[in-house]
Parts: sequence; C-alpha cells; structure tokens
Amino acid sequence: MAVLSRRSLFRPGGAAVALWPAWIIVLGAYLGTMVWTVAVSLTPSKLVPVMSFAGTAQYERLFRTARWLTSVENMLVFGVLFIAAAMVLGTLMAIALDRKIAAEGVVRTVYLYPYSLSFIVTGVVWQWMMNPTLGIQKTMNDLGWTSFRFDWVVDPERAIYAVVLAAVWQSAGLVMALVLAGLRGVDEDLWKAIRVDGIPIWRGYVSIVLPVLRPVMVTAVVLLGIGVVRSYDLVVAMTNGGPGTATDVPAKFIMDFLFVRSNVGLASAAATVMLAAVAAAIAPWIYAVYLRRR
Amino acid sequence: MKKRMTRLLATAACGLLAGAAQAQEAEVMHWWTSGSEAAALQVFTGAFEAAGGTWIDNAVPDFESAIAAATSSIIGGNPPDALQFNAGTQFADLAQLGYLGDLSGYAEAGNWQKALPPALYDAVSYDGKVYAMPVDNHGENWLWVNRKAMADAGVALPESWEGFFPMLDKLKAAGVIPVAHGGEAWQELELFYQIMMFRGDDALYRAIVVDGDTSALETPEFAAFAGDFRKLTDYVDAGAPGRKWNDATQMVISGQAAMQFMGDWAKGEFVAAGLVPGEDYDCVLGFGGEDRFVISADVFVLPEAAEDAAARDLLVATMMSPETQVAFNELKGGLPARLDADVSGMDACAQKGYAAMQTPEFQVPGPEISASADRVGAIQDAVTQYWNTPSETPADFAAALRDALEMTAE
Repeated sequence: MAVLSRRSLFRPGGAAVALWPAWIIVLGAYLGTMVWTVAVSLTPSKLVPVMSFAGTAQYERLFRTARWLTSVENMLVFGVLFIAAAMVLGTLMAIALDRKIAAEGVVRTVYLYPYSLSFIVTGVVWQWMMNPTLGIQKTMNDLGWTSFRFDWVVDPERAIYAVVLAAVWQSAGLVMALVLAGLRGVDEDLWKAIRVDGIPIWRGYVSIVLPVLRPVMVTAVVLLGIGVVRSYDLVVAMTNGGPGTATDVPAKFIMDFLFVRSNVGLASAAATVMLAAVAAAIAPWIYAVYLRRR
Repeated sequence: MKKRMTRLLATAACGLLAGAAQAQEAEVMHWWTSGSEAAALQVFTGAFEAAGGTWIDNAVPDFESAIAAATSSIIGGNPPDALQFNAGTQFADLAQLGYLGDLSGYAEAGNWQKALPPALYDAVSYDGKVYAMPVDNHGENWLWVNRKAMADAGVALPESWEGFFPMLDKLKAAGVIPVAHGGEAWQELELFYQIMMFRGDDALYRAIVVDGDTSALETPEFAAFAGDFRKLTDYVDAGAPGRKWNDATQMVISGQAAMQFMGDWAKGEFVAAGLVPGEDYDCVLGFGGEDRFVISADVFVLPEAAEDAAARDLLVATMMSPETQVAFNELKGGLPARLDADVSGMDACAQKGYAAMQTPEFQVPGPEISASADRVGAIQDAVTQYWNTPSETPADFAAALRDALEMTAE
C-alpha cells in the first residue's frame, strides 16, 4: 500500500479506475446484450439460440406479419396521443394549482394519486369500468338511460383509445407534479415584470413562463416516452392485446414470441427494430443537447 | 419467499441426511399452483415419498415463466431431475439438441406404445425415441350446458349441427345469453377447433393445423365453417372481450348463459359450485354420438444432465402408474394418459371422455401436439383477428391463415 501514493488513487487516473465497474456493467450488460440480440436476430433460432446465419429472413417475416404492423401502429397512436394529452392536462392542472386555489394540498394529492397505482391496477379497474356488461354503461342503462354507450374497451376500433384514456388518467398527475415544481421555482421578479408590462396572465404562461420551464418539459416527455416503449403491463392488464390484436404493442409481441411461441429469432428481430426506432427518436435530441453546444 | 426458504431448508436437510441414508431425491419443476392442481400434485408427491423417495418441489407459477425457467435451467446445465412441459413440439428443440434423457427403455418395459393413445405416443416421441412421460389427457373440445337454462327456454341439444343455430335462436329469444365466451385470443383459438369438431370438420382441422395444407383453405368446407364461425359471434354477449374463461364458466353455472365451449378444466368450476354432471349440467363432446376428443397433455421430461438413475426409476414408476394417474386426474379434471387405467370410479364426464378415447379415428391431436408453438401462435392471431373484425370475410380469413401457415413452414 505504501507504494501507492494517494495521488494515483484519487486524482484523474484513480477516478478512471473507480469507474471501471460501471464501465464493465455498461459494456457487458447493456452493449453486450444489445449486440447479442442483434446477432440472434440474424439466425433461425427457435426455442434455443443457435448461431447459424439466416440473413434477413426474420426481418422479412416480421414485416409480413400483420400483427407486428398493427402493434407498431398502435405504439405510434398511443405514444402521440398519450404524451400530448398527459402533457396538456398535467400542465393545465399545474397552472390551476399555481394560481393558489383553495385546498391546494388536497387537490394536489388527488391529482397525483393515480400515479401511485401500478399500471396493472389501473388497467384492471378501467377495464371493469368500460366493460359494457359490468361498468359505467351497465349502471347508466340500469338507471334508465338505455341508449348510453361506453364500450371502448370491447370495440376493436376504439380499444386503443381506451388504453390511452387509462394511461393519461394514470400519468397526468406526474406531469402536474413536475411542472408545478418548475412553476414554483420561477423567479418572482419574472412575474413582477409580466405584471408591470400589463401582459395577460395566460400570455405570461404561454410565451414567457412555460418556455423557461423547457428542461422540465423535456424531462416529462422523456419519462412519458419511456412509459410508451414499455407500455406492456397496462395493455396486458386491460385488454391483453385484444379484442383480436387491436391493442397489441411491440413489447407484448416480443414477449409472446420470446417465451410462448419459442421463436427467439423473430423476437430478437422485433427487439432490434424497436432499438433502432428508439435510437432514431432520441438521436436528434442527443445531438441537440450534447453535441451541438460543443 | 416462504417457498424459497422451505426449499433452502429442505435442501440443507437433505444434504445433512445424504451421508446417513441414500434417499432417492428428485427435484421437480412444474407450474401446478392453482387449488385443484396443487391438490392433484399431492398425489404424485405422496406416492413418490411412500415409495421411499424425497420430493423437492420447485413450483414456478404461471406456465409461461415456467417454460422460460425450465428452458434456461436445461441449457444452463444444472437442471432439476424432472420438468413439466406440454406434450408436443414444445420440447422437440431440446430433444433434438440432446438435452433430454432417452426414456425408450422405460417405454418398452412399460409398454407405453400400447398403453397410450397413438396421438399422445407420437407427441412424446422424437426421431423414434421417447423423451417424455405423459401424466394426463385433457379433452379440449367440451361443451358445458346448464340444464335448467335449457329447460326454462324449452330447448334440448340437437342431434346434429344443423339444429344448433335454431336452438341458439330460441335461447336468445328466451332472454338467456346462448353462448358464454371469454374473448381472449387463446380462447378464440380453442373455439375455432371446438366448432370444427362439433361440425364434424375434423378432416379440415387435420389438413390445416396438423398438415399445414394451404389448399384446404380453398375448399367449400372451409368457407362454410368460416361462415358459421362468424355467425356464432351473434350469440355471444357484448362483454365477452377480455373475459377470463372461468368467469365465462360462472355465467353458465349461474344460468345467465346456457353453455360454454371449453376444455375439461372447466369441470373444476362446476365441481366447486357443487353441481352434479348429468343432473345440473351436461358435458358434451359432439352431437348425435359423434364424440370427437381433442387431446392435450402435461408431460414430464428428465434432463440428460440430471442423471440419477435411482431417482429416475422411481419418478417414472410413480408417474406412469395407472392407479396414481387415475387418482391424480380425479383431482385435476383430466383423464389418465394411459388407456389401460381403470376409470370406473371416475365421474360421468370422465367416463364419456374415456369412451370417446376408445375410437382412434375420433382422437384428434390438439394444436400443441400437432404444430410448432410458432405456427399455433400464428393461427391464433389470424383466428382472433377474424372473430373480432366483423368486416373480415371468409376469404380474408383464408388469406390470413394461408399467410400464417406459409410464414411458419419449417
């Protein structure tokens, strides 16, 4: 020990050594499994990965599979609607609270409460509520409003919107909490300036305060975006991909082929496409945030 | 957690005892965790321990996780002594790669070829060798009928398929849900071949599912079947999508619905509700005495890497004993896999299934036995899509099935 000076342990060289475990995890666990997945997607593997080259056969089959195309489309529809609705609703709720309404603490808790439920619970409850023979529709029909319809979850055309509804209900509170925290951090002087200039309050939010909160907004969108990519448990609990394949999502497609259908090759191809899609989506953002400034 | 602790303690205890007495201990991985399944499993553990073995239970709840765990433990090289699978192509990959123990010696000694239904014997064989032992035989194409609901509507089951829809019309008019259906993809796949069996289309089923013959999709028989399959959606209630199979069974038990197509595991629900077959409800395998029987089975494989000859002998002797299989299946709801078992003590539905099993041409291998999991899944996607898309025509359905068969051709 005496030979090792404090310097080499704790100065830059030492810091690099301390980071080695993290690098091993990143390289081995993350990059290693990514490379492995891409490699397996080029093989004819079934239950067990086998290393013989099959070219792009898995990809060709993947894009001929109607269910895969449906699931990708669903993810796009779900992603756009869910993120947009949760952002708008969450921001409006935050602004409402920011106006210092009465009983703010209670309202804030109520808004944030759904986020404390798991996607599984959310999915099951909304499925019951929207089931025409159990939930809101039946209650209304029994009360005498016989033409009332609220059966999105069993309608193949509308079931994906039912999933969006449940997801927004669950996650809007998170956006509210993030944005509210941001709003509370806005300098009082900014508001004084807005008031002095006689700018309407709504204009002050839209043009001045919310742009200041851009980092908070980006964080919220990223968190919601991660929710979209792993939108597996909500769909499984609520519709299990049904009716038919109407609410299938890529994550569920991959899980089915990986485990139930023992087709590791096709599942890996689907996972690779997902990886590429996510990379394509975040690449411009990484470029804008980290690279352009240098 | 508790289970893991118990296992840990059991393992530790066995380690201590190993020096003293050479107990034949076997670790068995399975997914039988529901009430009736766990009770049935006790028959095996009891018999195994009575014969001097030590059973180390390794239950993985949920079939999908169990298959994943089983596969990785076999490939990882340190598998349990026995693992549960479904009969059929599921473990063919593992057999092909040499991971599974060859049971042909036991099969010959126990005369399995004669004792098992031919479709089941084929299902546990790969390349002329036997790799798994089947412990039960589940009929997948039962129709469960509430007698009171039928009597109240003044209808009886028809003698042939032609009378089926008129009967459903009368039930509908009487204000009963004619058919209780759980709208999950796997249940719709079941309904697909259940209706084929009741229509007498087993040749069509064999052509599509077993042989993967796309020309069968061009036939008028297929078009007629697809039309009837679509028509059946009119007799199902609006709340079906996403419903669990046992919730649908409860609708029949309560009389809210008149009947349900479902495998013999539904019997457990009737038994639990205290209903008696032949009095409160009927179990039917076909109209007019054409009782087709679609086979599915649970099997155990013995991995090559876990070679412990004594434990293996005892496991096979226990699980393949006709008496143990009968006792097991009385609780599990299925039939013994062995046709030479004495089922005279079992209930009326089991007797009926057993009688149907005596006619080889009416024994139909289930999809899991007949085709790869990949192909069954692709067919399931096409079926559930057709069932749930009113605008899809029989021709669209045929095209979707053709795609499914072509994409999963080996």
